[in-house]
Amino acid sequence: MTRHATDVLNIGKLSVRLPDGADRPFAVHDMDLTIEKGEILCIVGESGSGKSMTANAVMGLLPKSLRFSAEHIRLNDCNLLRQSRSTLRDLRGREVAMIFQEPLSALNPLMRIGDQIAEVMKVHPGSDFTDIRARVLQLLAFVGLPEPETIRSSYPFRLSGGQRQRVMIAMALALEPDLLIADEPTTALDVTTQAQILDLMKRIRDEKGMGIMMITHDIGVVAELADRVIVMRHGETLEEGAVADVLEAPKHAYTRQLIDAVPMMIPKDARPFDTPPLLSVKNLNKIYGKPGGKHRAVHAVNDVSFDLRAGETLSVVGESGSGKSTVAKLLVKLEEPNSGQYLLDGEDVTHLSVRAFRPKRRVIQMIFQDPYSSLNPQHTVARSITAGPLAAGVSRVQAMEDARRLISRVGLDESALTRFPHEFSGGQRQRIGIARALAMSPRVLVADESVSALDVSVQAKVLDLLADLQREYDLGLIFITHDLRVACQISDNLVVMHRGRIVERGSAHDVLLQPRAPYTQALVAALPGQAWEARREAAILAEQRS
Amino acid sequence: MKTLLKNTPLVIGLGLLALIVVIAVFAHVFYPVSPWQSSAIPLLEPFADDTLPLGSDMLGRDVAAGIAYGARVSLTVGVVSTIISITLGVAIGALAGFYGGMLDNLLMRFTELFQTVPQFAMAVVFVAIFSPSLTTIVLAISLVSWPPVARLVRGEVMSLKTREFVKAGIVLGESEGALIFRHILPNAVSPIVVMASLMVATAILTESALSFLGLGDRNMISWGYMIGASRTMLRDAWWLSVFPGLAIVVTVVAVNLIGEGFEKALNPQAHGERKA
Repeated sequence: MTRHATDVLNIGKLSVRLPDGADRPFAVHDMDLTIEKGEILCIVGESGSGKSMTANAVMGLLPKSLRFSAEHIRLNDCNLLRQSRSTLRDLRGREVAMIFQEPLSALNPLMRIGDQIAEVMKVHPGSDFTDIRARVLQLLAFVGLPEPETIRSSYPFRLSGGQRQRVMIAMALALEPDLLIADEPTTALDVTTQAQILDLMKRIRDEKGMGIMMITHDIGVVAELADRVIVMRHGETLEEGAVADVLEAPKHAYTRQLIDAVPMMIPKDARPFDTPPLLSVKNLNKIYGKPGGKHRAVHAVNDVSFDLRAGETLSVVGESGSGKSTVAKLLVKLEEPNSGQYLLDGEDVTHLSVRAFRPKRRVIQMIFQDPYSSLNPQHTVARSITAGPLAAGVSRVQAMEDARRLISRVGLDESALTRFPHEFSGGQRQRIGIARALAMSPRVLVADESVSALDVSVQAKVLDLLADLQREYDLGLIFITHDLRVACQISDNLVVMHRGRIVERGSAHDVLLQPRAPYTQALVAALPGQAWEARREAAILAEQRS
Repeated sequence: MKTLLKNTPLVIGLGLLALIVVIAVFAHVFYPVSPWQSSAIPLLEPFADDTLPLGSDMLGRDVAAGIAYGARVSLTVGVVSTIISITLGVAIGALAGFYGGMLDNLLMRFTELFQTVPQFAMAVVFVAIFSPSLTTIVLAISLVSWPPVARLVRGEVMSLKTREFVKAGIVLGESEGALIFRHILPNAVSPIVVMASLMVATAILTESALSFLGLGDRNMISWGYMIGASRTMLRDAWWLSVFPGLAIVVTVVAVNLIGEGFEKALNPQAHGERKA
């Protein structure tokens, strides 16, 4: 690989070997990479692609059990492979800095924000900043935190997730390094916060002229932010190039597949639903904590009303803390509302006791968020799927027969029934979760962030499966999500929640393409990669017309 | 299976314990004469006579026979009292953790009542009130050792209760009993097993201490009784207290090794054997 004078980072043939017995020999194989000054390089890939390993190799953060080799890892003019540990330690923070996915756990909860940032400067003696306090304030202002003076003397718990990520970035910038490595820095954040952090990263590139290595799984983020992009899968570099080239004319089939898996913001055509509602909630309220009590009461769900009809998909969209998951819990009676009315299948179930509601549970089933904890690790798949029907009085023979039928219906082999959850991937587990819900022959399904933990290609397949099953069984589907693209792909109708209230409702088409509420407008505007999106949609429409 | 054989503490612990169990079970075969019976001259030194390798006490009773029969008491007390206190602790902890609220409050205050009194003192009082017998000793030890189990189980249940597979069970309409017995408790087994094996050791020690104080079962010889009875002769006949003492040490070490082995087997992450 040719080397330019402006290269900040130049890696030649980096390989990270996995321990014997892993599913493949290399986590990263023969990777070449350069980042220039003032350039953002996005490394995009799904889980297990080796993208984070690459970042960790540069920072020397690989676990000791992994062996890695490279021709060179050159930071500016210094080959990191030939440096002593103390030199490397000094380089970290001074010339290369890193920010992580979880801003909540990356800050020391017992130290004031200002002290944590100052520490970076103190552990690197000889830095040029004589007035550390002034420098801290300057950094806090640069990353766009309000009232730097107040933030400086606050503890981390007072800050929101987005603010903490800004603090992390301020720490990373403290010594003006030449290279910033960001490992999924916005994945844990809400979309509006993500948009602000992405803007900040662009500002860092433009104003500080730093090179940025951004690890992400989100094609939207790539489109929004990257100058160049590297696509990785199973540790191999599949494609590299300028972002416009890669996204608009991908050379590798896998890149194409990744891009196609991103749901497009083209809503389904509105369909009329004129059957009586299957499920109806009126003025539902849920308050956590006693009003006037010792702790602040949280009005998690505030006067929420909506109807759902057979065959309809209603998405409940909102950011974290909007109350959307509480709505899901109220619907399946994992929580009881403080007031309001809940009609299920024409019957008022608002005040039914746990026991009295049990027979009604067959009508409404739930698909959970976390494919790793939603199945009992000690039970075989068959046992998990048949448990509900058996509890409802179905015979064992019948329940097993249904389980066999359903497991093939959700796209798994019948042999899956005798295996345990840990033998399956996240996507497969989510299919098992769907089969378990369907085993009850429900009429309403509540899916609480059911695809948000999955890779985008897996996510697309699970969404397709859900849509098929809905048509097949004429299910009413309540789809709880923070992801507008996913909501757009699957919903007929949409409600947008903000701080416990529904701020907008309507057909997917109206809400997403002509949002009226200011909050919805902000949500839609915050979606990363919209310019690329628009070009992509235009291209597809043009193709359809011809 | 192979990994279990590589688990050194578990293998050594089980080996030692198996030896002790064999000695206890076949005590009457090895020593057909009652351990209370004189069978030699008093205060015979150990290793002097081949038939009495560990010597005899002030009444000419065989120390080795005492140790063999004493193993029965120690093992019975250790195992039975652990079973009782685990059952009690799991029941109380599971109820408190699963239902929470008022019931949790009541049960935990009740548990604290037991925890605030020093364990051994309470056991002594209990045995002293009722006449000392194997049954009262077992009951006394169970009574003072369940509270930590209840606390552990309560914590495990509270955390497992929030897991999604338990929520899924609720949504599927499974009964509360099914949730507790099929979903929650089986997933809490490993810490309970580890704790149980360590409790066996504590129970053996407590029984020895009670017998040492003369609160043992008068009809059965036990290691603690042997040490207690010979404490006045410690300078003249060291073997009378040292050998029963060694028996206690070996048994407790064996049981502790088993506990450690279980912990290693059930919780490999904590011991640096992480899968990469």
